[in-house]
Amino acid sequence: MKFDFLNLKFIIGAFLLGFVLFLALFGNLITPFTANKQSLMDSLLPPLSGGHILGTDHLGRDILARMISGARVSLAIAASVVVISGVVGVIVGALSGYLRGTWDLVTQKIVESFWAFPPILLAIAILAFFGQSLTNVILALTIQRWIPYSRMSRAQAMVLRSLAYVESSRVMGGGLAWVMRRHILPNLMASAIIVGTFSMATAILAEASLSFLGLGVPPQIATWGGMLAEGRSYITRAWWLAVMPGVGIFITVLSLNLLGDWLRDQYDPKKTLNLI
Amino acid sequence: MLHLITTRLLGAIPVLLLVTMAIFGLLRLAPGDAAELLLPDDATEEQIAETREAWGLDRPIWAQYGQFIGNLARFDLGESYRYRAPVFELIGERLPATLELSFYALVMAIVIAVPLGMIAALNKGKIIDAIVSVISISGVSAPSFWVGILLVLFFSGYLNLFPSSGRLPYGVSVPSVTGFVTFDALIAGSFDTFLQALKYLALPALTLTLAMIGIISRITRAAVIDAGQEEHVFTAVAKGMKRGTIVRRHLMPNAAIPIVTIIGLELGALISGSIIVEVVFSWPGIGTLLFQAISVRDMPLTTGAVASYTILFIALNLLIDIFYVLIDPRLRGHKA
Amino acid sequence: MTLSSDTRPADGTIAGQNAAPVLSARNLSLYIREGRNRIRIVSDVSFEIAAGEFFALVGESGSGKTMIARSIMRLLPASMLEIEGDLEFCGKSLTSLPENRMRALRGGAISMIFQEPMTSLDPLMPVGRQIEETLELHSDLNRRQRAERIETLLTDVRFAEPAKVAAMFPHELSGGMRQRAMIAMALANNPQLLIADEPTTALDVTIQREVMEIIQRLRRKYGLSVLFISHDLSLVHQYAERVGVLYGGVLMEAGPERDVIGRSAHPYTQALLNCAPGRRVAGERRRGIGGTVPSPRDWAPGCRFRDRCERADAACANSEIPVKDLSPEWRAKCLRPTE
Repeated sequence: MKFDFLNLKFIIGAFLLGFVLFLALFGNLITPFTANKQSLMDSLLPPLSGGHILGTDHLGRDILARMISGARVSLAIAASVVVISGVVGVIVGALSGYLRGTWDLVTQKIVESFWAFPPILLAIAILAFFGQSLTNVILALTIQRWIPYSRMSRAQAMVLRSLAYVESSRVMGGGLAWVMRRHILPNLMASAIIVGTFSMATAILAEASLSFLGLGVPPQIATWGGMLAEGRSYITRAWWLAVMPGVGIFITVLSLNLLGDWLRDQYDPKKTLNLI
Repeated sequence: MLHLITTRLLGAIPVLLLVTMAIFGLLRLAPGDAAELLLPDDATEEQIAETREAWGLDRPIWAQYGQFIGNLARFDLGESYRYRAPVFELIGERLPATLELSFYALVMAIVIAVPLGMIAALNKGKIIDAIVSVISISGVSAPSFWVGILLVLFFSGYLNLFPSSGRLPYGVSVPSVTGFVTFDALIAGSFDTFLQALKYLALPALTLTLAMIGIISRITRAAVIDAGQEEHVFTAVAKGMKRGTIVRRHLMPNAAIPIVTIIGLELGALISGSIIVEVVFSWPGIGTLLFQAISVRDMPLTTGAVASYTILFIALNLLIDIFYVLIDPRLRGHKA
Repeated sequence: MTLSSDTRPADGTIAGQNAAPVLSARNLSLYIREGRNRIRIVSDVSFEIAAGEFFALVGESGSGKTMIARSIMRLLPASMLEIEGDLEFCGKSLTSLPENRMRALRGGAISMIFQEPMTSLDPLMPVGRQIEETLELHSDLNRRQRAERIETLLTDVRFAEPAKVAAMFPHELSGGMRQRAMIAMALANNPQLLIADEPTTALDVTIQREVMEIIQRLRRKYGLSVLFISHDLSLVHQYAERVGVLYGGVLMEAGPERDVIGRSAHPYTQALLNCAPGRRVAGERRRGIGGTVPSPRDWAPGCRFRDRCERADAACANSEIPVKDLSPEWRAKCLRPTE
């Protein structure tokens, strides 16, 4: 597999994601302020005034510092959600496709029922009933997000199990764990990474939506969604309060979508369409 | 066709049972209950206990669920704790608002996004394709609540053109026939009210539209490119047919099938988007109703609203299946 | 609109050799564009098809035969396929024809049937309607006349109940029936040239024969020229009057069927015949051709077949291979053809 790194999608996507990652990891070196430090004297300062690069909010907190906190929370939650749902989804799906039979029937029923909920409803319900916490946000977002992985893995595992070398491995006495580890799971990696990249983008959007609704991450932690919800009331007086966190969400999600697109193009067999 | 509809509707029953059961289970597992949350802070222990008894909260969860199902069979979803009104009525009042908003947004999105995706596909690799790609990838990346806020900032803040919340000005109403305020206003012959209703619709509908344009134009582009690689398109070229005619007669009908399939798969995301947009613009639909119900553990109302979203979801999927049968002769069975 | 039909023999018999060619390709080269580069996939091919003649172009997959067929009607956009050299249809150059005039020829005087009858028809449109579309494009028949014409055409391709078939969708027909419907569509406007790109490859052997017989019968009936693209030598032997053998985009041998297939001179044709089923001498083992067809990207000067050729030597690698006339009508591009 040769990757085409000179692609515009890759360059822009990698640059934007790199920028957000840099902010999340080393942002503290840029601003002397902390996310929750209030200073009512300095409230609603516009960007580039009083040493606040992105301005301050209604309680005089530094927007940049809060943005950095938001980046950390978003990336950490989305990454956990993607890893957990990816592992669960790929294993469940691969077993379904490989074993077929009862296991497949049962998981397909579960998949169907989960799918009958519009995704955000279930997340809203879980968070509303169980309260706001980082763990609950991750749980609420994971609960449906494993399904795309399991569908993809099931379909591919069904094809793989009938391939000669997998079949021979099984006939030669390869146990379930062996065949899965040797032949099935490695072949699902590429697709899982593509699904995961897009899934991370939607996870960030979903986390921001929940925090915006006041149901996600607890309000004492600065998040992009929460900042937007607070800034909304000041929209006509201080536009930067609501605009900045939106930009943060937008470029992060955009970078992941670009990278996902790029990855998918790399694996797309249609690129080598034979014309002769 | 009739067979399809009946099997689908019967298939929806277990799903509905499961969904409502899940909501009941979640409510049971969750700490705190409605009686504590809804009664004033100075309510005595006795008052709380009385309320619990009145609402049946003191009974075991399976008994509560059994009663709920029994009532459901009689089209009775119980009474909302908060509004003290039958859930069925509350949902009936709010559902048209949700449908009206979604209807306008979906129609606008299709009218804009399908041609965009087509143009991109037919000019694959050219500048225009790149422009459409930028539009659609931005569309799927921008959070709808942020787009909504930006639209409010611009159109109601600076231009003062459109209102930022609600469905009609305070005190204005139209006799309800269809439940769609815009249609009802025209039926009532009040063109002014119609225009006002459109103004109130403008921002929420536009926000929802923008969220859908990204997805739909991407799907359309991919579907048209795929359809263009089919052999029968070659046949049409070999017949001497013009490019435009081929696109209209052979390419688009064939591309419509995957486009609708994927819109069907994205329905969940679209419904999620509409809930958030309703909350942002205080649109009086079931999205806001559900949101309020959840925050006070109004169990009958929550279950009712979730169930109506699920029914909506199933109904839309059924519509998509009917569309397939109409467009694709392969699903209509053999005549021979 | 169709071109005037007076170039066709009035009696419907196969034309003599002296009639003006319906199609002639002279020094035809084809290039596929890939970004800024272009890859030559067909080099310097020349052949002629006389009125009413059955001409077969034979070769393995990747030899460029399908691209030649598609280039005649310019089915691929110029941004993808570049044509050099000359293609003439009834004395008129096809390569310089403006697109709208070309469109008038497609499905009119020149028509084409494809390899995959399963996918060559639009699955969402009744068969009769698809035939009617070509009539609408090239004739001024009214609705009733078109319906009659469709019935005649479907009867011509041996459908017992043409009206019923016309109302059917492609998925309701079998592979052979679909290919017959494709033929009916191709013949709708009385073409002078029918390009058949492996029309029977996807079909069962018995249905193959049926389809070939229909083509043959209609060719006789309407004095049609046929360009038959195939890798099936037994069909070519049975139906073709003249044959061209392609290898790696180069015409290796061309001439009357009795010469090219009957006593082939080019080592490639001989090798191809050797591995054709049913054509080996009793007792002799069938041999495949060693090696594979070189990809257009790896083409080097000299004879393209030399790596797989038993007769090749140093001279085959470095010189431009001449075309040798073995008889007035029979030629081979080889340094040492057998005679």
